[in-house]
Amino acid sequence: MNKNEFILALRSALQKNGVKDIDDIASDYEEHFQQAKIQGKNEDEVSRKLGTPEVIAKAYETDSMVLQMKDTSQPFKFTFAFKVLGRLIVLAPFNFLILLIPGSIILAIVVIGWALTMVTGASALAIVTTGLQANLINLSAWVGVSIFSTTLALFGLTAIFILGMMLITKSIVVFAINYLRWNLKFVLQK
Amino acid sequence: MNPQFKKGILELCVLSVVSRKDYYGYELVEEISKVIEISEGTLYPILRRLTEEKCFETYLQESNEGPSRKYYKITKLGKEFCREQSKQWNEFNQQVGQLIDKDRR
Repeated sequence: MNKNEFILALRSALQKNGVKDIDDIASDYEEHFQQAKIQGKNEDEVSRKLGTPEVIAKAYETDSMVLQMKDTSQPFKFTFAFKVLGRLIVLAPFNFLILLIPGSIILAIVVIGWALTMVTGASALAIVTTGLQANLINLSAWVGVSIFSTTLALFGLTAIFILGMMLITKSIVVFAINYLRWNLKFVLQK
Repeated sequence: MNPQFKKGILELCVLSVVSRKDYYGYELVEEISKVIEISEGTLYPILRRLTEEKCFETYLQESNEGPSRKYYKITKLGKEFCREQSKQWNEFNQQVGQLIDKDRR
């Protein structure tokens, strides 16, 4: 690959990956080629030493995604967070193995938490429906009131569980991303 | 050296080298690849990230030999980060050294 081919391939890879500041990034590599030329280096040799444009573009994309993740002025998006997580795992597959055991334990806890939340919600609904049916066959006022308050309490509990689980899930995802990002420094492929 | 180890310390290498004097991209790449064998293109993302994280400042300077060059200069924050990172690296190195050399003694 000569200089122009390299820059062109890098630009299109950056564009494909949605990286901003493409001109700025490309100019760094243009300067690199220029300076190498002054030293009497051959363009093919220089681009071979630089590496694959696609791999380089991935490094820029991951950095910009992580930066966007850390921007607290933006609302936290789970789908985007999982995309970043996926990217980091693909870039650093051995992380996946290390994370597998503690990861599956944490995942199990999260799943159990969400299941518990759903069970609470479902039982609240169940009491409402049975309560309504029971009311048709005429129940004492006292039982009616106690059913009503239990249902209310269960709905409240469900709401608290949902909020709690949202917080827990979010912090686990953020922690995993920070951990993977730290780890990534050790494994970014050549 | 194992490429996985190399990548981890690359950022620290860049910080340490630039903390000694201001470098332009090509010069820095030459300096580092003299010692460590790397894909040279992966240094520029590191330079950009460290600049975005305010560890480096950049400025353009004309050269006698041709077009102007973009120089990287370490900031106060960068120096602190570099110190902290090299402390961690030294500790880690020492610990690993203890384990590796145990059998040989």
